[in-house]
Amino acid sequence: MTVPPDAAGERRVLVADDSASARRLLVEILDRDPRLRVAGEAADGGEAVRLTEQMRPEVVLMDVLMPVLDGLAATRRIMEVRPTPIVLVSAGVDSREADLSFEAIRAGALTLLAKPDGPGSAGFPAQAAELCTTVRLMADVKVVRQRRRGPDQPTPAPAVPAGRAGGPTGGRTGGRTGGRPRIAAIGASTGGPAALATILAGLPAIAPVPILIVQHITAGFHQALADWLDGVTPMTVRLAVDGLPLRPGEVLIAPPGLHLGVSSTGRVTLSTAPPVGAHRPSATHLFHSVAQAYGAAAVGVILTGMGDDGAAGLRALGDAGGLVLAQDEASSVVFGMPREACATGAVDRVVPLAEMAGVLASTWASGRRP
Amino acid sequence: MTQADPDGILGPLLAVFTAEAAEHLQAMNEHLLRLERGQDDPRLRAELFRAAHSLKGAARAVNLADVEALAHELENVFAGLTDDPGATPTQSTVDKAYQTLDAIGAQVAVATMVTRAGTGPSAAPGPAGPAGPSGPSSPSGPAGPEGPGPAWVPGAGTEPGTAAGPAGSPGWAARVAGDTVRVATSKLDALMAEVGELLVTRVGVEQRLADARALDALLAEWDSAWKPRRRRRLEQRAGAGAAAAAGTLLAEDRDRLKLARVSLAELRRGLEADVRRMTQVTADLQADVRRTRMVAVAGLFDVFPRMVRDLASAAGKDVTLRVAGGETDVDRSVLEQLKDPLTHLLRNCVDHGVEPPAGRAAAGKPRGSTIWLTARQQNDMLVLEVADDGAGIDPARVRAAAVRIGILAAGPAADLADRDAISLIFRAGLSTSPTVTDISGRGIGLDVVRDAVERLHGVLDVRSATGAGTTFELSLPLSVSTMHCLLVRAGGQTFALPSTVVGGVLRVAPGEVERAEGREVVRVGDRPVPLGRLAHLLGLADGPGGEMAGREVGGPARAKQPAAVLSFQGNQVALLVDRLAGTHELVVKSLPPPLTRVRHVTGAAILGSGEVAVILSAADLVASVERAGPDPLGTAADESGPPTILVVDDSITTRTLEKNVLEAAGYRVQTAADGLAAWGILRAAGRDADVDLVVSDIEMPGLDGLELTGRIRADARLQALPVVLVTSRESREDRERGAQAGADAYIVKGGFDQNRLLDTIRRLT
Repeated sequence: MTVPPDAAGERRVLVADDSASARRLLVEILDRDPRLRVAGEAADGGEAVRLTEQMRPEVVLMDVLMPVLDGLAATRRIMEVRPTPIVLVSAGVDSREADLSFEAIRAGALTLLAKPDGPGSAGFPAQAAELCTTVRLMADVKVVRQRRRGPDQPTPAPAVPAGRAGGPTGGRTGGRTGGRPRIAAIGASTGGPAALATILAGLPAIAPVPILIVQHITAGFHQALADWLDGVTPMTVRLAVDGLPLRPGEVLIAPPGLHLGVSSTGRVTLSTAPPVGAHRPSATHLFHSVAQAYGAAAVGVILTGMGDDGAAGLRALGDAGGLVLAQDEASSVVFGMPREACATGAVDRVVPLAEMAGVLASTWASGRRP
Repeated sequence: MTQADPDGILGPLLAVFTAEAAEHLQAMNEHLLRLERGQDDPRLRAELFRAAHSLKGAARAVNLADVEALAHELENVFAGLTDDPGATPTQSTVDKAYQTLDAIGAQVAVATMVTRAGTGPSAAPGPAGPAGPSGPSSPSGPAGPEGPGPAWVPGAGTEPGTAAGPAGSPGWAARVAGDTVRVATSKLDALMAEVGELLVTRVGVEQRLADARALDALLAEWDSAWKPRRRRRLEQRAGAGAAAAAGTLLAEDRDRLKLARVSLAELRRGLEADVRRMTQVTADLQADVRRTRMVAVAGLFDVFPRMVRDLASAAGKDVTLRVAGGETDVDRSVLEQLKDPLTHLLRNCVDHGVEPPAGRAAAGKPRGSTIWLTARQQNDMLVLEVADDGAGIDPARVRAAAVRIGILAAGPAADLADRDAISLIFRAGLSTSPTVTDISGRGIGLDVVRDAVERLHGVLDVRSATGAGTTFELSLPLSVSTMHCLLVRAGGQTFALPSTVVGGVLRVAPGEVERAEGREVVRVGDRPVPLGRLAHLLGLADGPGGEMAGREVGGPARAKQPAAVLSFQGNQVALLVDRLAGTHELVVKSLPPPLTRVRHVTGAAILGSGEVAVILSAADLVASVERAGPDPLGTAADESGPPTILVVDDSITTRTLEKNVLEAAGYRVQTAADGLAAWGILRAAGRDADVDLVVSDIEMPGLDGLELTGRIRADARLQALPVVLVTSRESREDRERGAQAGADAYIVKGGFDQNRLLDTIRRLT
């Protein structure tokens, strides 16, 4: 994550929502945060694009279903004409809206939040705080111009060995027992839904292992995420259910508010253990659990995201002999979590997003360590 | 459950929401109508979905879970329509959607009301008090400087300046994209009121200028006349020598006088220039402010297609409403007051104007009928027309009904031109009497229309062609803030008559007053027009020269007396006044409660002299003049003081309530605790009855209200006495029983509304 020099200053926000009431609420919330200032308001997607060009806000907070241009089309235009961090707000219960939201994330929007409840409601203070914090954090994310391209088109950047792979501890790879992995665990945050879609869509066939995923996302969007990902891969993607036996080729997403783990008997365990670093579900919890149950027969992948969730878990997984992969900086929306994971020295290989699917596939096809 | 709103967001947010919800509901109603009419396309369906979705989001933003849920239901219905663009929605789907829209409308109304009441002063609309420019959310804003700001603001570094008060509001205004801002209508109202004050001040300044001119003229006259006269007198008294000495003094005086004249002339010229400029600026200002208050009538018209659809569907008729001229601008306050009358007229057209499809087919007309609602600007007037292609109004039936309820004798009724006969439907008797609504078919609610139009100083007209349809035309001033008026003097006071109702002025010589139908008339053109005396009608003593002497045999021949001819709904009357005082553009002040409905009066204006002129109601004056005759003795009815009303009710509470209401309205009141007691009073009063009207309960021990009415009607001396029955019974049968017994009006207690009672009594006395 790139922090500009004026990190302490306020960030200018463009708010786009076709509902005057919803827009007013967002504006009132943001304006009460000294770290943010609402610079403009747009009542539809077209206006959002125009005002983004004109006013050059540092972050755009945008509704998904809007007239003229919807959130997806507006995101595409903004990422073409003036790449700006985009935070989407969505009512989210409707599947078409959720799909649109995730497609917008794939098109370059950073993250998705639930529309806050009205002031005075029980959830309002927490939602307002989350909204402000997220918008402020996303304002400093460096986004790049997106060209329209297929998600599985390879990038020219080669796989970069990193961490212990190229370092003095590199010999450890040889010390591993090898064998085909029997499980894959993935942790992701900001930019994660798009990365997950790229990976799942890029896998050449149905994976011979179960894939467990922790994706940080606002409560209410987990099912929608599962549904959306289910549409990009022939594999089944669904929310994990406690006690469910793990099956190869099935992708399980951690449900909201519960840690996802596995038992030694190959079943899903969901737990209400305390949040790890404010996260529940937490990627670290998942990696720890997988390390314990599968040890060397596990692959852990850390993808784009803000913060350091997953790093400690990956270290445990690496220590248990599992294979650890991290998304590279160039393809990460936010290189926070992969960077932290690399810093632990647990990462076997740093992989560009476009190659991640191929690397995983070759891992479980050959049993060879990449 | 909604908790308090510690951050003061919810109040202003609700105001935004109310407006937004209305827009979405309106849009969905329109789209549904089009869908139903077969104007179907995928874009329409998508718009429906999006509007429902936006409304859902908006409701969520203001914590209205019920509205959110209902909007969600709609969203699902419309999602089904967009997902399957080939499928035609069933009637039940559409009906359900309409019902949900209505339910949402009701919820929004209730919720915004409750929340406003609940959040205290912060959310209350109304004049901005000490809150200043920051708008409606001040008093209960966040805790003030000592508070670190709203608890949920992440990071405690909030500065007091941003936390205290609704810091968002000014920024909000400044941020609005484009070159428009939203301004609370209360602010525009205040601006308009201030412009009104300025205009009054201007008239005052003009008066000062006139004073200065008069003073200038006075000095000039003194200058030319005083000196020679004084010198002549000096010479006569003191001889030529002393006169020469005094001449020096006089010359000094003269110089001073000249100086004063020059200074005064400068003052006058300065004043003239200032007044010219001020006149220009205030006229521009007034025009500009008036323009800011103008809104397109479309905002009102938009609700009607849906309403007509529902009414027609309920009545089993096939009606298309065609709307035109929605872009016509009119003052917002006028527009607000047009909703009820237009609703009544449209309802009337659907219920009574257009025929059922079978009837139309039999008459060789297309089965589907059309109602037109059009607006246009004509000079300074907004002209609205509500027209239908129905059966029209049968003048013969209106004549018959008018005769039946006694507002016309059979002879004059027969002489009435068709057009004038049709205008009778606006008459109170015809429009309110329960006995004739079924006969006239068009009467109901039209008095509401008439009253509303009159309040706006407009003119209501009706044209009808049997078999071809009926057209109601409302002509209204575009703005109610100023009004062109004829000023008249009567009984030592100045009164204003709106120019819209003044048909002309006359000078009436005593010999020109004729008698017809037992009352005085004067010819206007060829037409005999009832004549009244304004001072008498208003209960004032005659002013100087006010007494028209023509009646007294052998009285001295007096000069002609001025009269104003008023036209109202096809009726004309001439009003004798002491003096005509010219026409003026007056700034109208509406009367404060409790004076909102005073007989003969619609408003007041402050004249340049500072005097208050009462603006008179043409409708009341016309009615009063017509009611005054036939009067064979020539005594004006109102010379006997206020009418006396006998209130009959066995409940002391009701009795006292009605007594207080009526006395407050200026009537004398007698009471009786039951029918027998009332009958005793009436019998004792006899021919010289001190009772002008009876207001009676129906359910009473002994002699009930119906029997009392029957006895009154059977008594030769009392049979003309108006009787108003007030009751809790609302069934049609009861109404008919009351009518059969001979009651003139029937008021249901459930909707007891003192204005209704007073209006009814006003019409009957």
